[in-house]
Amino acid sequence: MSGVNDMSLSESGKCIEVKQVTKAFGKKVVLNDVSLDVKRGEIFGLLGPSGSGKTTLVRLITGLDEPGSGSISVLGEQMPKLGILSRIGYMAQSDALYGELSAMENLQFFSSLYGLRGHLLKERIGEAAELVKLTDDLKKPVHEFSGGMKRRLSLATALTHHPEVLILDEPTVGIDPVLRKSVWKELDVLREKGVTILVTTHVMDEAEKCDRLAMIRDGKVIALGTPAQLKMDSGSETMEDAFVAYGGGQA
Amino acid sequence: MDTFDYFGSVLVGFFSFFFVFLIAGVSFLRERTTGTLQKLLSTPLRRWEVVAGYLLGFGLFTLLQATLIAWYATSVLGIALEGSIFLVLLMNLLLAVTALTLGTLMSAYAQNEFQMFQFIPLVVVPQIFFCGLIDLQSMPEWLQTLGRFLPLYYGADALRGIMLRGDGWDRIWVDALALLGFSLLFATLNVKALRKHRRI
Ligand SMILES: Nc1ncnc2c1ncn2[C@@H]1O[C@H](COP(=O)(O)OP(=O)(O)O)[C@@H](O)[C@H]1O
Ligand SMILES: [Mg+2]
Repeated sequence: MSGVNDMSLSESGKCIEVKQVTKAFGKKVVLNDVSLDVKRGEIFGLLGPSGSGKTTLVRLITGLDEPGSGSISVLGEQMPKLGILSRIGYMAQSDALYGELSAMENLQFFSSLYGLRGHLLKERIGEAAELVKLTDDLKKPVHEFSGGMKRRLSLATALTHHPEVLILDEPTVGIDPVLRKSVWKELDVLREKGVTILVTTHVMDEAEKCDRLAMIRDGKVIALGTPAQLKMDSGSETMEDAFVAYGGGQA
Repeated sequence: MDTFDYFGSVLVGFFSFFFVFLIAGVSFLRERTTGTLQKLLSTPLRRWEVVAGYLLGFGLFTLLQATLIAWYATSVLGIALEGSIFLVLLMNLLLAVTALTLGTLMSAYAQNEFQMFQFIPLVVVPQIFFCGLIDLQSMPEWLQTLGRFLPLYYGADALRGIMLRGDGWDRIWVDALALLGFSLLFATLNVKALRKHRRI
């Protein structure tokens, strides 16, 4: 997938910039002074236990909500920005699919919102379905899908318009280990093609597959770096130990 | 005047309104609870396009329903029809579009489907009182004025006119305009209510 155009390759090489973002719901502070950059063409992981604020952060980045203070830009534009949304592929934590419709119809509908039509639409759907291994199930109504199949279909709906930035909220939850591996392999392929990928996870061994990651706990970034760096700096053997060492507690 | 015809003409409008209000409200609510609304708003789709899409999609279904109700009322139930069936259809359609926009608007304030049903006594029941089923003359004036703010008042007025007295367009256009106004108002508020989910 080559959604990357050279115009957007700004000198900074930064694709997503989060600066001192704070977000509260009522009195509850969910994100506390979060800053991080995602470089173009990398897989960036947000690792943290459930309730740490991962979903809130990626929703802010996608422009579905706004920070209380701080700023967020994607591809050089302050979010929320309508024009940027066509260059983002967003996969929410909950599978947002129409259960009455078939997988094919879901893909057709969501792809058409990005202006895909006719021959190109067909081609892109075929390509995305192949990628998530759902080619043989396209005619089935989605309410007959297993949790893992829905997850993969959700991923496919975020891919058909060849986004430059992929924002995936726990994409592998409920997917069996074999397919999980294949999903990560596909993410690698997408990265090779220049796609920037931001992925959230609470699974420690998935974090190892990211180029860089931010550990997040109670709305704060407690550590940021490459997996190897984080392990080395904390003198840990595993990601789990590193997370604990940085004050993350049991994830 | 035949009471059956009198009530029947009003009920035609009432059913158009009631069903569409519920169906549209519940399905828009489901967009929110299943997350598909979020998904829609993560695409470059504009907020008004979401609302307009709902209007168009349901509009077709609504037209079919309006036709069915009008046909059933006049042909099967034998309710009097002095005027044009096309005007009956038009008023039914306008009522249904009003119900559609109101239903989707109300769904923004419901947390689940049960709460949507709780809107029935709040939104739908008052309209039954004011659409002519009960003699308004005996009510205090301020209550009568209140009726002017309810869509069904205009729908019922026009339908009675067309079906019982054979009124033509020249007598019902004010009612039609009122319903169109309500629809526009509700649709606009709807687009505004979506701001809660995406500012732009
Ligand atoms: N709309 C909301 N209103 C109130 N609290 C919320 C809302 N969304 C999230 N939260 C709270 O924010 C915290 C972080 O949630 P979330 O971002 O979903 O974490 P994660 O995705 O890491 O599990 C949780 O305590 C959650 O209850
Ligand atoms: Mg989450």
